[in-house]
Amino acid sequence: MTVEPRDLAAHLVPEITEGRLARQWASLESKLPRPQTGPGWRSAALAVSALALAAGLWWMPASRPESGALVESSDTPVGVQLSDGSSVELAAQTRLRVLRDQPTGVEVELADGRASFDVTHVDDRSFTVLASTVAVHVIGTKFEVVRVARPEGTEVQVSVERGIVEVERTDRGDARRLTVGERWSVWIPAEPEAEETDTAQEDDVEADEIDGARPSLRAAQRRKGRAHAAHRPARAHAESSKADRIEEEDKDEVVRDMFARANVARRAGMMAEAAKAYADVIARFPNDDSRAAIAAFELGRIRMDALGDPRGAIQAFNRSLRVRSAASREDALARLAICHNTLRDNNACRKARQRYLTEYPGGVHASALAALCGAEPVEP
Amino acid sequence: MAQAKTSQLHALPGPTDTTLVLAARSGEKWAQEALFKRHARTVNGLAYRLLGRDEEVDDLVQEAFLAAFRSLDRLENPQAFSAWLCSILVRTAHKTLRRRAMLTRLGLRRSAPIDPDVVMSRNVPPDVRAELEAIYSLLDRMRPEVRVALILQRVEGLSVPEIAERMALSVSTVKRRLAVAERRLEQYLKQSGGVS
Repeated sequence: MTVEPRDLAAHLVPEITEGRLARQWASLESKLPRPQTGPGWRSAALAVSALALAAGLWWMPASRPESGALVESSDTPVGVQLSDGSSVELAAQTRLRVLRDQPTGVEVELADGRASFDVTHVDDRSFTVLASTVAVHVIGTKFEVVRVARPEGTEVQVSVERGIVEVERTDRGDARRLTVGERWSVWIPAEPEAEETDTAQEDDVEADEIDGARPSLRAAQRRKGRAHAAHRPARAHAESSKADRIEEEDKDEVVRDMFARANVARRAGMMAEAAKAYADVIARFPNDDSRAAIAAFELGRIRMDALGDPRGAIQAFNRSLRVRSAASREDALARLAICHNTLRDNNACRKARQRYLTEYPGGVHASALAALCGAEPVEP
Repeated sequence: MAQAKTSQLHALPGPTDTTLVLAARSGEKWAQEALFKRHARTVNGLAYRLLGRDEEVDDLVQEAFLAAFRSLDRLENPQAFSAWLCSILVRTAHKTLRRRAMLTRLGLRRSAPIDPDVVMSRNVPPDVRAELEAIYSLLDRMRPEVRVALILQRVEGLSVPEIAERMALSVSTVKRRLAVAERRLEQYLKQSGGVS
């Protein structure tokens, strides 16, 4: 196979007629932004105005964006005044989308860049700023949100100048409050298969766990390499090690891909598909404790919460509990007791509860578990 | 006015990409059109080879040009417009392939395998045909990032640093992707009786 690479491209050429190019251009032209007619903020403001029609909330001299409209700044910052007296300043090269603008609530999404919000308190109206999987809930305050998107992930920063905001990780369901002078930031790794704004808790956990698992895999590979070295010439050994490394990296990628598939299915509400994907991970990597434990816990959670299958969930939680160091261990033990309770198997429930209390005497689920298993007294 | 300038463009070898980019940045539609006409065939070809089929080429080309025109202000070296545009197309194609793969896995999209005979031009020499058949028969079984790296190297003839730049990845990551791709290609050729 001595063909030069350039020769290959020459044999793979689509049929490009002038008509096809003309159609492509016509379609493209209709989507291009209108030319800017003035310098600086004025042209930026006009761009905003063109997008801002009839929404009832935003105005930029007498213009308002529709829900879903994108407000963009060019090289200079753009100030936007809200009808209730709140204001937003978009730094240069910033994009903000208005998702909802009803009297009961305002929701905007920072697509890219930096925006400062000065929000006036209005009774019974929520004000939320989304940036990737971070939601900032506002009562009445002045704060700044920065979203920096890179191919490998997204960084979101929130800083508060006045008042209090609540920052929520929408993928995790946890939230924290930030007060005056506080700054919070998060790095959200890009997910292999999902859209930019869609990252879930398990992805972060998964990344941690997978990273944590790598040294042991590499150690195994080194051991394998050493064993083989005793029987082979050095060159053959080097080639074999390289091949092993590639196999191992390939395996890493396969498992990440499988987790991504499961996560996307779960977020799409396709729970049976998600459960199958997690089960596939366990079946395919039964000896990879870290990954199997994560997958088994997730499988148990789906069977318990979404599929109404407590027996299947018990099986999955028991599988995840084979790994003593698993991050999900405490939750898995608690859920095990709850599943037995659902099945009205009080003996098994008590055993599982006792196991939980032995390993986590002051655990966060202790009080909830006390009311289960026929509410029999719990041993201290 | 715009019409007169467009006519001039057709009659003369044309202004440099730098000139066109600067004009396009200031919102001159004729300059955007000139850039499109100048680079459309290159970009269509690259999109076709990356996707392995013709159906989604138009969408991908438009998406890439749209992204390029929208972020023209970020192009530091206007004369490098072509390479920059191709980088945007490669990354957009990668996203498209990832989305497509995910939808297929979830059963939301039915994927027909690439037919190398349909992709290739007629009268392809036998040795070229064998290599292209091997590559395009394997593509649907490869992960998108491996697939894109393989096409850029074996078909487009780019070097590893060039691929890294196009895909916005490190050189070592590209090398890993290519190692995986080459290994699979070698296995395929051995199984099918081809020559590596």
